[in-house]
Amino acid sequence: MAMRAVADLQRSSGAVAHTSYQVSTGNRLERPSDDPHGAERAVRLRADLAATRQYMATVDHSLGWAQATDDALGTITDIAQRARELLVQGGNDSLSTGARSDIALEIDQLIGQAKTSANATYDGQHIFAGQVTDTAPYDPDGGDAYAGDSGSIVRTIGPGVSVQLNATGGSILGDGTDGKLLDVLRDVAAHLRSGVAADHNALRTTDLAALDANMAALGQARAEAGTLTNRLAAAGSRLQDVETSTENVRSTVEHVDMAQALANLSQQQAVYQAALKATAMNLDQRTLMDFLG
Amino acid sequence: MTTINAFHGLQTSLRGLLAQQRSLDVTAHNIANAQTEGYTRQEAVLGASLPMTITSGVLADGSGAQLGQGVDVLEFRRMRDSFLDLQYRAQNMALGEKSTLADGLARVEEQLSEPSDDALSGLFGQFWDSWETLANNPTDPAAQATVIARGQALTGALQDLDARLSALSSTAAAEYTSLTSGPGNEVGNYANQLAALNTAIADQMRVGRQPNDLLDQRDLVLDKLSELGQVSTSDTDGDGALDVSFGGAGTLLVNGTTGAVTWPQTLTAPGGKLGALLTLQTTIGAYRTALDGVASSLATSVNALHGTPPFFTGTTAATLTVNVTTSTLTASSSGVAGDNDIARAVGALRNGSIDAAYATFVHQVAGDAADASRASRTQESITTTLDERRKSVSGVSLDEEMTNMIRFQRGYQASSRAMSTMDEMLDTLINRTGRVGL
Repeated sequence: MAMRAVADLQRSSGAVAHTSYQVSTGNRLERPSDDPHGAERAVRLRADLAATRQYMATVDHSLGWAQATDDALGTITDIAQRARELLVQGGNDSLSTGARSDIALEIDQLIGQAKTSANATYDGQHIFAGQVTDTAPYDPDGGDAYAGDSGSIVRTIGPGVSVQLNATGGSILGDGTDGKLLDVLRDVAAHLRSGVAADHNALRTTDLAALDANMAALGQARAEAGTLTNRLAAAGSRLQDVETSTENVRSTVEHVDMAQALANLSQQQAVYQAALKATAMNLDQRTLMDFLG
Repeated sequence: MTTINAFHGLQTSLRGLLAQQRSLDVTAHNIANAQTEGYTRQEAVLGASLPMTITSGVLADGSGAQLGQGVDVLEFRRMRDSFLDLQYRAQNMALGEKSTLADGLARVEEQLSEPSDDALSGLFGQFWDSWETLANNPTDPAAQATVIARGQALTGALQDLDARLSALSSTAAAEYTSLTSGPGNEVGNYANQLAALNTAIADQMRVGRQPNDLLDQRDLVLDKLSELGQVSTSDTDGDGALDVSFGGAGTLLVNGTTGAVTWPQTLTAPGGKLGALLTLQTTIGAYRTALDGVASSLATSVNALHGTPPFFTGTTAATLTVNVTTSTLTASSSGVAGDNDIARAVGALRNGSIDAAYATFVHQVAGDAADASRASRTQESITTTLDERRKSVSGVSLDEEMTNMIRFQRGYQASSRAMSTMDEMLDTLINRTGRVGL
């Protein structure tokens, strides 16, 4: 009977110890074997959480990139707008050569500013250089050659979900020979400086049309950047929801219901106390010897 | 006419006194050994002595009356149920096996310390994170260094876990060896004790004695041996010396007839604690193989994407190492600064087959440990119940012994009173008969 009593006491005190662990740490699982299926689920849920958090970090990074793109495109749009005003002004036949020359100088400066804007960086990477992110795509003081490529900058914002972040300088500003913005502005400057009437005529016609076409293309690029921002923001908000719900499920699996655990603990302690008392009474047996003479 | 000796009654009473004294001796022996491990209570078996036939008087046809001669102590019987012994040894063997297995697997699952951010599952997550961070800035030296550092942390943890599992397996093997071979090994000791007890018991039984205490000692040794492995006994020639076979081995451990002890032997499926130690080594081996599978799958998948040089070398958990430095780490197949296809592809491996294989591994270990622990608790309950049943038959109950003491004491008093009565009668016959007129 003593052996059985000792075994029962050990079992009872073991239960108290386990529930005390749960209450003091808040963990339901003291060791994986307490709930093997739950332990596996917990491992998988933690992995899902880590993935979700990493995607959220990437989304933040991508939003920053998109914002920098939008800012730079905005600056370039302002430059193009100013250039258009100058172009209209310069197309006026009543201007003197000196005045046209001054306007041409300002156009040159605008070209430099546009190239500087296109050299914008985010997180140490040039955002308009295609995949050649370690090199500035344009030389603001020199020629108009585009030093980047047409590669895409891709980011993973979800399992199997990737987005392209970049617009390339080559497609917006061009390389000075392809009819894009830099080429048009160079032509404008050249036409302003020349004394030929046909060139002055071109200022009002072909150059204006070309500049308008490029400004429309800029508007298009800005719209695309805006769409990208919206998409990233939506993804970020979805990921936030996923993180919250995954964390809730993980908490259900790993954490103990404190109210329940405290109730269990007080009940188990009461049982343990009662068992101790009963054992003490039992072992303090009287035998026949106490009653015989 | 057959006459009875005048002093016949004294002899009868004397027999009674002696019988009660012997019974009291046995009771005292039981009380003295109430706490002795493995002791079986004894009782004196009394039987009426052979009667004497009196051919006279009333039954004149010659059949005669039979006059009892008193009481004899026939034997000191050992109150032991040998069937319960067999049952107990079988359950004790199962208990030794299951509790050892439960302990061993509990230690194995402690090595995992899952679920936790510091354990392997957390390190896997950080490894995949580092590749995706690299994908966001492929030429950033900090990101490159982090990928390599996280890779090394992962391989280090895999090596560490494998080493600890290997150490546990070696511990089990060492325990097995220390129990079965080498100086002072338990099985050898028990075997020698059994052989010695066999000889002593056989000697006693040959001359017709019942060596109760020696039998108790032998049963105790057999109980202890049963925890280590499967024990089966038989007495083929009936001389009291048992043939003991242990752990399903080919040759008898102790041969009752020749007294030979054959140990050590190799055992394939001994059951009991030894069997559990062997099973534990096999199980841990399977776990290490599964872990090697995870490591190999990781290396193969990442290396396939990374190209040359291979990111990992080694194919097992113990040999897996990071093979690249910040200068040889490639985030893209084209090498252009902003390209990140390799980094993205490696990052996309996360929560795929590699992580699933590891989660399954955790489940396997946890499930095995839970099963073993449950089985061990159940078995403990069964074995304790059986042991109590055994003790209820052969254990000493002080209440019963006290009552017996009163019986034998009163019996002694009654016999001595009978003797006093006969003494007075003889006194009357001898000293007062024929003294008429004096």
